[in-house]
Amino acid sequence: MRPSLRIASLIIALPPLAIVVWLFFIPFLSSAHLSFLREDQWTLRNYSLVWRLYRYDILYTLWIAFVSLAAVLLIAVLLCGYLRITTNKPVEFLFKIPLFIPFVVVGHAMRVLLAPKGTLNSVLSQIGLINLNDPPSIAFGWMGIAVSLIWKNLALAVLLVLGAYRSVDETYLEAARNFGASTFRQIRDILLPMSAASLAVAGAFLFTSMLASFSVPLMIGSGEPPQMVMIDVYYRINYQGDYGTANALGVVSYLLAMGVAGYYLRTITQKET
Amino acid sequence: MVEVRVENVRKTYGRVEVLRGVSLNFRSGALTAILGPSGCGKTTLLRSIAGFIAVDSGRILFDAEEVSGLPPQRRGTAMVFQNYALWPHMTVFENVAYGLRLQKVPADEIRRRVLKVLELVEIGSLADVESRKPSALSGGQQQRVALARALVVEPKVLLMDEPLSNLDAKVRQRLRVELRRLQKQVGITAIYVTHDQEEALALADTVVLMDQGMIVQAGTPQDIYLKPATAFAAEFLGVSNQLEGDVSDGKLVVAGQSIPYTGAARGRVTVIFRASDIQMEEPSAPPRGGTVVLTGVLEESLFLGAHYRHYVRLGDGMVMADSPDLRRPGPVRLVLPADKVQVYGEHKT
Repeated sequence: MRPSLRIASLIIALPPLAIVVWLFFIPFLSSAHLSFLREDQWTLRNYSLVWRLYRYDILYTLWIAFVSLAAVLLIAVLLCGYLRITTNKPVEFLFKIPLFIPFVVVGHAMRVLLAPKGTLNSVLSQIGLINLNDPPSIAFGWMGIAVSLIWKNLALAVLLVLGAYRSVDETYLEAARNFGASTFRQIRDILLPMSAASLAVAGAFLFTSMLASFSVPLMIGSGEPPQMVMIDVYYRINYQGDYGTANALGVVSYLLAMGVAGYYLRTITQKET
Repeated sequence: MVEVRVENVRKTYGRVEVLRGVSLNFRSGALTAILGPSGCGKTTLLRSIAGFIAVDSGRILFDAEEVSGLPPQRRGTAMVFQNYALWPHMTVFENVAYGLRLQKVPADEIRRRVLKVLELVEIGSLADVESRKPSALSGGQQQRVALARALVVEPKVLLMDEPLSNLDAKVRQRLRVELRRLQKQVGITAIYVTHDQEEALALADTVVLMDQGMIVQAGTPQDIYLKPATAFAAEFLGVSNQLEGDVSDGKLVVAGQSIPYTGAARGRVTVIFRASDIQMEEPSAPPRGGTVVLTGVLEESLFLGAHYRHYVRLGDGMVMADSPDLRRPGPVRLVLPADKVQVYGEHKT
């Protein structure tokens, strides 16, 4: 590469690089640094607090993120397969609507829908399926958070998975259809394996997004332990002024997300080489 | 073996009528090539027969059974695609076996049939190839696998959409012969879409020439080549010269030169003759009977390997003439057998 071209490439790469350094590496390093300090002394006490107080919250967060991710991917894989094969623009649009709805609004909508005396239970009681005097509640627990995250993230998943499916040439599907492959077999045998790398990348995005959920678990969660990690960070800072433990929780979250980011980077590097 | 009949089939995309009342019979057990320029509707016709496209009106019949409303999998066709469409995540064996697996054929029967068909298409060492992914094969091998995948399900009709167009010239010519051999060996009704006239003439029992969503001419390769029905057919089927002319009082005036004419066309006409039918002589050579003679000026000659292509100015136009000899630029006489000069009235073009 000529030196002038090299300089031009560097200039083009600088702004995104600066953003990554400024918004990711510096906060991460600062967080990591502060997570080992307590009253200006180097210590592992913050991590010991995280282990003692929040290890179940971390597991709870991972559980919700994994369950929601699995559900979102399962629905998106099948739904997008149907949309790719049959083309149904109104349905596609309906599933993309949550993209434009803020998390707080999703949280509120789900409280209204899933609360013990919410819309869902009202409808179920009217058709005689439940007794409103002793109503089941999906809201205010992990299921409520998971349902909300699934609904909100399904839109992004549809966008990513449908894009991956649409990059599969139509002739691959026609070849399968020609032999009698049903819609499900076309999804399972052709679309899914041919989009596997893109789906893994979509999964990585969705997982990190769910891991960092704040508004939805704050509004739909029970308010009692176990809580999702971002709620713990919020309480640690706002109510206890404990930046050390909050930073330690942040570092743990970073590491969980970076495991997935590493997988993402490995996938796209393999695709490009 | 199935006869395919297409009756008055129409298909429109938006305002563009891609198939304009196409009616055609594809003989049972024969290989029919649908030939035409890009956008003439040949692939749409093939995909309509396959069931990938629903026609707006008309009927498609396999023998007596109307299949127009049936989905692709219930028509009993198998398609070989231009880009092969081999599934890259499956091995060669899995690709070929896929159709049989969908039919729930027992595993040992699948293995027997897949190996047999791979042998039939002469893929090479089976043990070496069957477990490879398509990306590890050459273009020619991939096309053989695509053909094997189509043949293994023993379809009623084999459909091929420009299957050789992605291959280099040598492989294409070799595979042409093998395709022809295979089709005869299996005895299947085959429909082959191509824009390559040489390929169509070499491969097919019947050639169907299409233009602008309509059938221009259908017949044996010899008929199509030697007796083109329209100026378009003549132009499309060879390196042809096309000149505008006028017919009146038993004379055809072309490039300012008058020649005797006894045909049916009158008024403005298009005159077409092939570069390979022209003989070039010195202007002083004695005239011969049964020929059409035009005089022009040879401006340039290009060596094309098998022959020279000469560019001769005739009035305002330029014509091409092929000959094995190099000639000097200057005045020249072009001599054509009278029956090789095609004259088309405006309504036939």
